[in-house]
Amino acid sequence: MSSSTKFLTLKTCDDKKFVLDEAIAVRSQTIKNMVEDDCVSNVIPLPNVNSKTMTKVIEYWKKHSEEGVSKDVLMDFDKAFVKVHHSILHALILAANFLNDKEILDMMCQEVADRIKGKTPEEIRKEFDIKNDFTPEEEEEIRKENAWAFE
Amino acid sequence: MEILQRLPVKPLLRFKCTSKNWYSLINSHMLIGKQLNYHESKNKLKMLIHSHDDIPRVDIISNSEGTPVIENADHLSSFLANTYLMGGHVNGVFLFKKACGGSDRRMGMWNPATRGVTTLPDAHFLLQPFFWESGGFTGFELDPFTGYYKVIWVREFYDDIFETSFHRAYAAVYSSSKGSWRFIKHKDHRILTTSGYYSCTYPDSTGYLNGAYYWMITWIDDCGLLSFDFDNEVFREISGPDVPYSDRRQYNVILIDGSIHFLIKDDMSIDFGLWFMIQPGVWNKLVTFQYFLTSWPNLQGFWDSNTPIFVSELDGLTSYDINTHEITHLKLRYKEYICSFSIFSYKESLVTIK
Repeated sequence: MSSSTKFLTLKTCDDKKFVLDEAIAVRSQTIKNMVEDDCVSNVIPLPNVNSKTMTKVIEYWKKHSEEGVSKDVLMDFDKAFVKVHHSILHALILAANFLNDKEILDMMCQEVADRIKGKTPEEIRKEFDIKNDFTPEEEEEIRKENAWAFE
Repeated sequence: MEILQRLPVKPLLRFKCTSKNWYSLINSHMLIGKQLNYHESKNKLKMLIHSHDDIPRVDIISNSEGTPVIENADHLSSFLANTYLMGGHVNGVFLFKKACGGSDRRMGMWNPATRGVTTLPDAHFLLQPFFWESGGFTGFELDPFTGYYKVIWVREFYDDIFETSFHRAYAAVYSSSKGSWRFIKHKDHRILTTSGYYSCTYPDSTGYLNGAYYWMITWIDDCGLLSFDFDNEVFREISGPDVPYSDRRQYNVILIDGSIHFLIKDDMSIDFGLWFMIQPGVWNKLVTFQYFLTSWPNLQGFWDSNTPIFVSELDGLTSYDINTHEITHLKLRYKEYICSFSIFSYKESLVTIK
């Protein structure tokens, strides 16, 4: 590593600190803007991200910053990376959104889309903890309009 | 929103009854627009194959999973029967019309993704009694947000002495927000200023781009485009690439990545030249490529700017990667009737037609 390598310290909402090479951390557009605007003091607080999620994000950043990794290896890595419980998936989407990392956000949203596209409205309500505020009559009416979509 | 725009139309329609919030979200202009843009940017195209055989059928091929997948679309065949012809598509919505002949000239709009259908009222042209109808073409624009559309219909005629060196045509434009037809008057019923025999390829080699509809036209010694601007409702002729016209060449006009392209192939060679329109009438040769599977393949569309899709009697439907020269066979169940197909590559949309 060259002597000019700069390190940043990131602090998650549960007060865990992560020391990271600046070149890797700027994969986050949010952090990059902070660095460019010179408003980085010693520690960058990440009030919307917990340490468990940040560990996953850093794991992704490091893998994708490695030199000489083949496309196939990265594809396998990504495939395994998205295979997590949906609560972690949702936390990762929120983190990627806050950190403004389009790559992770895109991959995670696609994973959620793939997971839910075969589901029923009941399963969707359960998965996202949504309250059904339609009356049974209203729901029946909307179902009828698009009855074929339930085949 | 980020997640929903990635979903195909069918689950979105199903999820409308999840909650009031989801219902209004899925019906919102923003999602309709985002979904269209997303599927366009990711080249999530579908191909609709309409066969005009005794047993009409529709197949939909999707490339969204990386490799082409044929979806079961038998349920859509009953709608089409064999009385309808497809006349192009914009934003995932198709214009259909009753087959030529007969007094019923009804047209309508169809969104295969939402299965929404609407029909247009009849247009009552005041025709000269001595004109003989020889053909015609149509085009349309559709605002994906409001669902309003405009249709341009051109009917072509011979005059009483079957003089073909003059082009006679009637045109009318329908606006769904007004709910009425407007007839466009031209001196001597001529839309084109160029005289001489010409033909407008239909329904291939047409397309909608930035407020105008384009049709390829070929004269005796030239080729070009006819466009109709929906804003000011006027026609315009645009010259094609500077390649001497010959009826031994094969011409196609295709929209790729939001711009107009001419694909030209010589009869005696396997070289294709792809031209790109920089501005109206100004063309730049983009690439020359060779496709050698069969001697006379018909272009049917593009998955993306590097992947034309061809159809031929011998090989059926194939997609070809210009860069890697890789040929993918899109397996169809009825290869032997390949000539009686209309094939359209389009993107699925949530658009509601009004």
